[in-house]
Amino acid sequence: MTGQHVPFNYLPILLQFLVAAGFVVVTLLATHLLGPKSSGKRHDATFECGLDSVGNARNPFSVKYFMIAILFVLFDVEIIFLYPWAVNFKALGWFGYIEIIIFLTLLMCGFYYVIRKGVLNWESREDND
Amino acid sequence: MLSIAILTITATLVLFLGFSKNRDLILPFSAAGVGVAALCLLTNQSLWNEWFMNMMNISGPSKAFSVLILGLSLCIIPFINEFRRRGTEEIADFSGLLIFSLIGGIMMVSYSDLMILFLGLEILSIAMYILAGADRKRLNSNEASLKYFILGAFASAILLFGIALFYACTASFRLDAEVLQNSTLLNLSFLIIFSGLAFKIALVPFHFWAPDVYQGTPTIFTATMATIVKVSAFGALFQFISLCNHHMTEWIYWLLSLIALTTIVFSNILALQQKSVKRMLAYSGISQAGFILIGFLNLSPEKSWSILYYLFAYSTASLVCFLVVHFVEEKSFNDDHSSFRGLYFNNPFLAIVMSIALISLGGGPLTAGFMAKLFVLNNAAIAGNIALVVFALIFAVLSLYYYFRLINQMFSHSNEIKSWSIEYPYAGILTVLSIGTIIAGILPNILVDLLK
Repeated sequence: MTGQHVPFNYLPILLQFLVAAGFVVVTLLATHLLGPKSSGKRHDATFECGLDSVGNARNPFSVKYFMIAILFVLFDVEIIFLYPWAVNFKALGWFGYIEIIIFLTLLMCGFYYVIRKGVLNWESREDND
Repeated sequence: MLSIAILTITATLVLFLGFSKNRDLILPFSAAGVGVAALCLLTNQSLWNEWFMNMMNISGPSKAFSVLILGLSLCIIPFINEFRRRGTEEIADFSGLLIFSLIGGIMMVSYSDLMILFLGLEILSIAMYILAGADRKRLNSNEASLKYFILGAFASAILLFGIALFYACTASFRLDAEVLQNSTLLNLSFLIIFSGLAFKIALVPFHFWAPDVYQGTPTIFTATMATIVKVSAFGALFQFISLCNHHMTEWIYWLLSLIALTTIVFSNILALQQKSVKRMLAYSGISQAGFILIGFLNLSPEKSWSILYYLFAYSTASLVCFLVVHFVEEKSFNDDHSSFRGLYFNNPFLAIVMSIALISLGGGPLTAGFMAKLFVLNNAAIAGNIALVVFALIFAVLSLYYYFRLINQMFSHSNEIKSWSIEYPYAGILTVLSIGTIIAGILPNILVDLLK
């Protein structure tokens, strides 16, 4: 680590950036210029898996969907923390084991809190609000 | 470290206490946990003083900042009970989040590694975003929460960019790292980190969120925002400048004094025309932050007490103001100047503590605010920033106008007089804060010796 960064070292990154941007621009331009053009009432209508679209997209959704999504991310990230520990299980030994137990205990406290708050309760229409 | 561990355990237990039917235990338990944590800090518990490869270290000024944060929160926690009177029973969540935010605050004032600064800032901010929306059924509160969240996330991103530039120059997150790269880039990174912190403090080019958010947030948490968050962010700035100032070039200081000057000028002019008392107090808090920033211009470790003294004076007075606004708001359902009319005849106690606090904010003699302004401006004058001191004094005098306009409202007769009073524990806290303001103003040596 001499701290001397020559801009030349980054040339491949710049090239890749240019290629990526160029690909997008060229493809868009090419389809626009070369492709056949057609339009009509049915052609311009919103496509939604072959069904007729109903109503406005900006409906209020139940916050439960959002909560489930956020909780999914939370426990997904937890798995990511467990992988490196599992790989280095022998190297880390008892120290790593105790650390991961503390981590999981804290996480399970949160999980218990979530359940008691009724976040995972789909049936009730009126949960604490 | 021990105090942070105690706070974490307290906050988690408080969250679970919320499930029990008996909600009277929550706040005493929270206050006890915070009190024990403060005692651990005060008695120099050496257990776990250095932890995580010395990434944070609570000693010297950062200990004083931490104790100030915990002391302020001890004054705020009992007032959370006010939510139950309005029909919100989930005070355990509010109390738990407030304690979590204290952990973030302590991390922010005692870091020596920029990663801890960022973690602390986020712990503090995320708790505050939620608390800003504590009044779930009121639209204003939701709006304040969303505004604070979006702008705050933006500020965090800017801070992170500054930290990344710092890493590019030093190949380390430590503040005492050796500088490998050219210093212009390093100074740019200082400037960007400073802008991120200036958002939390609400200094002038970064202040636009403050009045809106302060107005919409439930007043008890506005008090938290105006005191604990500001003290933490100033503590972080203090730590940053005191550890890095030998790398800073002249123009950084020029910019800091320019920001201090614009902050004082703009906030005082804007405060003059506010109808809502909460907005006025928001602008007054911005102007006080400008004064505190003057103390940072010629920072040396032995002068840190003047900043701490100013923060003590500002936060006690500001806390009293917001808490009084809370009670007046409960009675008259808005926070206009007109709803303070005749407060002295309805509730003389509130009017008197509010007047003391406002005089202290304005820098009136015999209060802590006077000595605080004196110390900070005196240091600036010794360092030769005469022009800045003159401008600051002019606008300090101007600020007296809007403070005294409110005092005048409180002491003038109103048409209907209905006397009411507040409960004794609340009155006790307000009395302690007011007496602290006066004692620190008459006998500043006591506090200054403590801080030294």
